[in-house]
Amino acid sequence: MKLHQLILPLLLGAVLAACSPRVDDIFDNTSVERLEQRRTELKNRLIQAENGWVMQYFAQSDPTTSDTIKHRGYTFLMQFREDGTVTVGAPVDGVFNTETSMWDIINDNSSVLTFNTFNRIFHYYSNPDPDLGLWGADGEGVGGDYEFMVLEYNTTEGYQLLKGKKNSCYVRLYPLAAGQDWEDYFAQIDAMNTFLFEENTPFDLYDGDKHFTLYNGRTHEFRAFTFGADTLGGGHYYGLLVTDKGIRLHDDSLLAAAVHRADFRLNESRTRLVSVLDPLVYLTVDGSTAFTSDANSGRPWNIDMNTLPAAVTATCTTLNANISAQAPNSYVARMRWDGAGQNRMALRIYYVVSGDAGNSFDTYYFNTSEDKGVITLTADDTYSSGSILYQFGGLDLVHAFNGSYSIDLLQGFHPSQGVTATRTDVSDFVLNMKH
Amino acid sequence: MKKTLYIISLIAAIALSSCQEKLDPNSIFPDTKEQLDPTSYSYQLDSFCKKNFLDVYNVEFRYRMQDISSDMNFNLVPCTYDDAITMAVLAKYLWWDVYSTVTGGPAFLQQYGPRIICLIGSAGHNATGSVTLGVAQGGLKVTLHAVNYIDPSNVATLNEYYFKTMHHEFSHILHQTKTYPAEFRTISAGYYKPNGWEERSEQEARSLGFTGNYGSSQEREDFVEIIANYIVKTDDEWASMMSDAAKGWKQDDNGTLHQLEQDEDGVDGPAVIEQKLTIARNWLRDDWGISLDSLRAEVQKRQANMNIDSLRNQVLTIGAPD
Repeated sequence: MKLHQLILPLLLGAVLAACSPRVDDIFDNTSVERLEQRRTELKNRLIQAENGWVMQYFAQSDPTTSDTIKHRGYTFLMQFREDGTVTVGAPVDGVFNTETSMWDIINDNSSVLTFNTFNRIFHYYSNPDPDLGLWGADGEGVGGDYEFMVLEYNTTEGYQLLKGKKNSCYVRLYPLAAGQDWEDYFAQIDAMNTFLFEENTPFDLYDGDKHFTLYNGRTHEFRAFTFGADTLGGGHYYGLLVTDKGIRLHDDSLLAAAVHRADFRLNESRTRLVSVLDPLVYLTVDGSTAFTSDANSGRPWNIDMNTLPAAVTATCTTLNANISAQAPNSYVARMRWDGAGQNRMALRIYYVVSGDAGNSFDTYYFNTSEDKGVITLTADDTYSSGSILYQFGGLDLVHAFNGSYSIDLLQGFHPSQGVTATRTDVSDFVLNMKH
Repeated sequence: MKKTLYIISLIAAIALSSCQEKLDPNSIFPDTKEQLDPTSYSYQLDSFCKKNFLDVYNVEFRYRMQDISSDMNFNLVPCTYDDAITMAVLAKYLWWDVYSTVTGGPAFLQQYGPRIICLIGSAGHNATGSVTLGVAQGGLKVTLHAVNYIDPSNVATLNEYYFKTMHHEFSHILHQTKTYPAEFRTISAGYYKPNGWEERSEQEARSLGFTGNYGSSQEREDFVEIIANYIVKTDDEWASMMSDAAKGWKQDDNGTLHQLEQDEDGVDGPAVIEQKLTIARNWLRDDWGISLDSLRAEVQKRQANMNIDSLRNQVLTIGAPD
């Protein structure tokens, strides 16, 4: 048999095998049709939200700057219209404002939502104008985006996810409830912001066994440390955004993947911000944190002298008698806890001598340790030079405070409203304290 | 053997043709010839741009920003719709209509004009602190920056930031198509300062024979700055510039500019500028058939008679089609 007589049937067979039978099509229509179909779906979705959308937007800063702000969050309200306009609302210099510009869904690298004419409110964070006086004053802007790849629609939490094309700004769009007034919406956010952050006390973040302390919430970028860690340097910067119901964190570095970037909503008792995806993940201000942190930040805790526990009252009475024996009309006037550095507190005892103004005081030091919110105070029997009460039995009064305490805020997130410190190792021992 | 080869070829051809997928006849890019939507917010401006740029010159006037069509090295933002209207009518009035008038019709720009005009709201901020006001790319596209800062009531600023930029960038397109004479290269050789031109004051640059400090950055910028400045500057402004060029200037250590009693740079600034202007004038006349002085006269006349409200009404009075 000649060679070509072999080749011809083989070639013919190969051709037929290659072209038939065909595998099933993956798509029912062409790429052009699919692109247009998706574009139409997205446009309709955006237009059909009756009262518009809440855009939760994290701008990313220039990582080469020395500024530590990396992912600060902002909120816009948006109403997309069929005629190609979008009205954007947000506070500008503290006053609610709206402006209308244009938008579109374009076929770029994936379907892209673009805000393609300038909107003074929305483009604020991407505007490189140095005259804005922002810290991106070198023409860098503030790390915002105006073109966003449209990613998935999350049906669990009901949001459309977007990602900025240039700076990878991370954005969620939630439909705004029908009937919700736009200006009132921002008033609610303002109220939430004030409630959570008007006091500069660190937050505690719990994620199962993990416990972090979060500082600087007022700046909308937490600086996070593992609980108990040295806070002199480092830490993890953790952007946040205030919502009408709580906050949302930007970063996914600390929390478990299942709850990263989730909404945290204020619970009914207004004591915790709880992840909508896992109730065991929450933020709060622990009483123990408020007790030590506020005292160390120059906000001492004054002990209510009218509600002293019996054990303290007894030693105090003895001390008063001893002092009065030396100088009539002398007594302990008030007591307060001051900060004295890491793992250390100071008990300051003010006293009246012979009816004076009561500005004299002794300072006694305690070592502190903390376990699961219970703080243990142990007097180390050191005191400031010049202190004199110890000569009359002052240390007995000091020792009366030794013990373990569970500290509770009278109002969540507001240490200034007062705390109660309840001894866990003995009964009937409660200190009521206020700044 | 020959017959076998024919058969193999035939089978191969059949195989290839039978496996070929048909291309979709629809482009994934927007069809610019599609009917405009009268219910669209931008119908008036889109109609104006279609009628005056696309239909006449096959030019896309792109005021809706797309980052992929901008310089990604800059941080930029779009222009406002309202400023886009202003820029569209000014571009027609002081650029496209000028060339059409001077060259006797639209054919010149149809052949040599850019195909895309891009508007950007912000300036292009450079690391050196200077700003880029416009860019011409590949003879096809002119990008105009800082459109959000346009103030039609301030003619001097309009000239400096926008009209000069239009003629500057278009001159780039012209010399990218037909290069300028070699003799131009020798005039200021040794005086260009590609890095640090911003450190020169306008006056120091003029004294060295440039129309301004940006012109002193590179030879091609010098060439188009000569043309653009000559076109947009009034007689008084041009004379003032030449007066600066005739003097000596120096900055002190604090950056304060002082006029010297004598020009010490060894360059006859006005003569050099005139020499460059003559080369540019002759190049436009001989290579392009355009009179630079006619171009200037037309621009000056239009600038003097400009009524921005009337120009904008060309857009704002457009109604929906019947």
